[in-house]
Amino acid sequence: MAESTAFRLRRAGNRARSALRDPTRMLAFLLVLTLSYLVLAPLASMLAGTFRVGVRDSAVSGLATGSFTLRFYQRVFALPISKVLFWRPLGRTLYVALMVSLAAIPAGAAAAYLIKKTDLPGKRWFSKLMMLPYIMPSWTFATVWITLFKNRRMGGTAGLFESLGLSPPDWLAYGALPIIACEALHVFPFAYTLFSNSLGSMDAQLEESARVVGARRGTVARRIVAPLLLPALMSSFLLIFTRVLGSFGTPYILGSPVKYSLLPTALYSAFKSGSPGVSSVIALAMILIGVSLIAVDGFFLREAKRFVTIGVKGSISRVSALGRGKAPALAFMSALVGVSVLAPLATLVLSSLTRRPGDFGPESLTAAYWIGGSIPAMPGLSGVLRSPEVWRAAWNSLRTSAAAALIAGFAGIFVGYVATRSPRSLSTRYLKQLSFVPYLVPSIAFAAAFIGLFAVRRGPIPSLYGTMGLVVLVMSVKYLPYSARAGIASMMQLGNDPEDAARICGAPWRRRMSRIVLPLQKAGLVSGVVLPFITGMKEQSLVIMLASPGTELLTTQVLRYMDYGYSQLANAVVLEIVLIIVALDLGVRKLSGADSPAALGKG
Amino acid sequence: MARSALFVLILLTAFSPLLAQAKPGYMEEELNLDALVKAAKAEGELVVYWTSSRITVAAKNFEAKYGIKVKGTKMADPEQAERVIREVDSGKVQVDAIGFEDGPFLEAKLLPDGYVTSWFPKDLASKIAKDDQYPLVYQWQPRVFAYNAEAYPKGNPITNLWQLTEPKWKGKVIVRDPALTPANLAFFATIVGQPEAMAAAYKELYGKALAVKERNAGWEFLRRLFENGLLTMNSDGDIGDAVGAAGQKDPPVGMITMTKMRDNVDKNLKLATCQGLKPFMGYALPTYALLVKNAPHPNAAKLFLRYVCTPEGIAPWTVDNMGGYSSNVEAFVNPANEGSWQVWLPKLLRLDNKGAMKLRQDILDFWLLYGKAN
Repeated sequence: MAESTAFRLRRAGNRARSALRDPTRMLAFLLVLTLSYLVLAPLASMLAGTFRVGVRDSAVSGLATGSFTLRFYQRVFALPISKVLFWRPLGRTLYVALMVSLAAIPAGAAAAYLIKKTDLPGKRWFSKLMMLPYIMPSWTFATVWITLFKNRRMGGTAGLFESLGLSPPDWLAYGALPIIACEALHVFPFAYTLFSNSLGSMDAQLEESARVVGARRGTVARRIVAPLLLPALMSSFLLIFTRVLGSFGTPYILGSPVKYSLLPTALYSAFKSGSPGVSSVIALAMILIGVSLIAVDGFFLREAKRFVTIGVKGSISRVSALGRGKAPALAFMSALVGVSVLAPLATLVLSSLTRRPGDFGPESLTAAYWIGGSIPAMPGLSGVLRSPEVWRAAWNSLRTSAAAALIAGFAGIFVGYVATRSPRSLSTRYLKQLSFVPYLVPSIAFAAAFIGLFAVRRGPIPSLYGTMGLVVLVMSVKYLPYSARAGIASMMQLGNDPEDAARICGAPWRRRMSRIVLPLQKAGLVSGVVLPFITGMKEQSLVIMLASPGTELLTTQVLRYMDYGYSQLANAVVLEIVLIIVALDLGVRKLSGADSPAALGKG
Repeated sequence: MARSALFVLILLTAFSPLLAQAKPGYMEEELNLDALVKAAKAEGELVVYWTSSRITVAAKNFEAKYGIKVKGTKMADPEQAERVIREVDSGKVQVDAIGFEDGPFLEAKLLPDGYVTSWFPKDLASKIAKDDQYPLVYQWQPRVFAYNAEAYPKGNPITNLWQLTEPKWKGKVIVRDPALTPANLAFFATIVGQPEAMAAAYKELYGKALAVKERNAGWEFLRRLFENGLLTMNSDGDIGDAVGAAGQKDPPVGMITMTKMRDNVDKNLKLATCQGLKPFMGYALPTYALLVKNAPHPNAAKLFLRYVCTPEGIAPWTVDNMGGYSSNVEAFVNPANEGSWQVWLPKLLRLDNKGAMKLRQDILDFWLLYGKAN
């Protein structure tokens, strides 16, 4: 008996020792530890914050700082004020998401049909240009909209139509309609991509066989094409909902003048007006909504997988002649590209060159917003190319995105490595789940959680409040789902053989990593790094609560300028961001030959 | 002897919370200016958050005088409060001093909980009124209703605040967003605290008594004002532009700080103050100048705080710029200011910091519930 206990103890000791000696297990252990802390602890601390009276809450409520309270839940869900704080923003968020889907999905699907299934002239150009709205930051359209339609309700430089003497009514300038229009312009390429993938992989023989056995066009469309496109439709729907739930810039720019709040802006105003407790409760509700959306998506994906289309010969994709429909089809595509790409960019360029919008006379036309040392009526400011704040913001954007992308990319590869070395272990399953969690949490809620945790010193971790470090950290964790997915995929492809061969030759772990695994992972690493990098360059929802004077990024600098009514400067900075992102995107595509990496990320 | 000393000591200890409560966070200092300058110079660059963008000018002037760089950032009150609390709690304080306008929060939290100190240089004791010494006010401004003089050549179109609740002014009254401008919340709370004045003004305008459905005449006024489509903007500058732009047919009225009157020249605006508006034209807005706890450059911060309290330091707000009043009696008063501070005071509401804090949540909720588009 005693002997067997001693034996067991010795065996446990041996195991522990060999685990310590096994770098893969050490790595798994370290990853589990760090990621648990970085992903779960902020959420836990946010949850705790929903019950705890903060300093500013204590001033208005008279409760002691740090004491337990249910007040925030009452305010958000139960008291009369909850109508304003939560229920109405919730209703509006759902409404906007629904309308955006109704506008963007048909447009995207129609474009996909024309490009994939017809002889539309210039389709290569159209398909390239159409990804641009998605590559641009999502809120670009909102800044364009304001530049055109701003009326007297908001201060600062007047909008184009206002200065032409046509005062746009409030419903056209702010609120639901513009938010829906701008979000739809941003996301329709996404629906286009999903539908064109589905259409592209659809075997034309299916339709033809149906026609041969006598089915009418309508029947083919209803019984063959529609069911095959259903997954694309559902995915577009759910992704658009997730996006509207997570996007801050557009509803902030277009909604706040008339107090049309969606959930992200409601969370932000609660935070700004001094009630972090209330904003934590809203964040929690948003996370629950996000999780249920993903669950619904998962359900539909599983349903879709139950049906497999099996063809005998190689699939054929046939295009049909547009015939007399050519002119209207071309007009539709040109209008789509014109409204979503050319017009917005032209508006930004022209607005950044004129003092009075729409006036191109010598008194109004100016390069001051770009290169001016000082600008009339904007005391203390200079053109964006000469402004130290903008240069600092650009530098901050570059270095935080780069650092976050590298951290996320390497973490992704390591998660992938552990997943391939021991695919069925508990830690692998845990890591896979864990690295997906940040995807479920809307950006602004995620930032709120991070502020709560890292604002004060905790054990060995110093306070990161107001530092670039916090921005880097929150970005790396938020982008982990992409890079972990990329890392797992590319490590799975590599398999264990090359490393095992090196091990047999006696190479130690460190050398195997640096000479075999990481070099072979270059491609995977690139996609796991580039995507977060570009996403970081256009990130706004995640960083708006963390940015402060000195840690301002390009994207938050835009909002500062807009808040103070300096639309020309804001638009010049937006153009800078768009140029940087498109250049990066083209560069990477040229180098890797891959699909547009920027189009995949969020923004 | 020793025993009585001990007794006094115990007595003092027992009452010290009371003594401290009278002026929490107060610290006065008998200055040796030369020593302070020397210590300040040894500390290096100073960081301040301020509610006014003119802080950058003051910073340049200060650097020219003392050779100490000041990084001055314009920041609204809620963000200042948030940052100061976070920085002090985290133990990583970056800011040294603040120019802050949220009096209620200052007196209810920041001073009693030790986040900031109201530091007072005693050599200025004869120059600054006793009331302004704690919490230290370096500048007063009228924030008052203004109209467009071009559209109303015969003069002020509003003589009584209750007119703003009439259909004629529906959607044509602009103030800074109370949710983000605590001073406006305090203004509304102080109105609620003066129901008699509001009821009397109503009677004076319409000749009949006010039918009060809300808690009192002050709340009644706020509800009617909010429901009449009260507009909000983010800054006094924006409000000045919207009210004062030339060539408007039916321009709004709005509340602005007097400093925006300079835009009549800079931007060709047509702003005029609503002189004669009853029961008050607006309110007296103090800007407090405070030292942050554990400031990394305490001496430079003290030197800067003292500097803005001098006639020289306040200049960016008063000399090259009208509308501001130094709390220092020796400072220059701009002749364009429509009178001295003493002339202004009776026309303005004095904010009640303590009362305003108690009502803050109620007022904010009331605004969120009844403000237009909500």
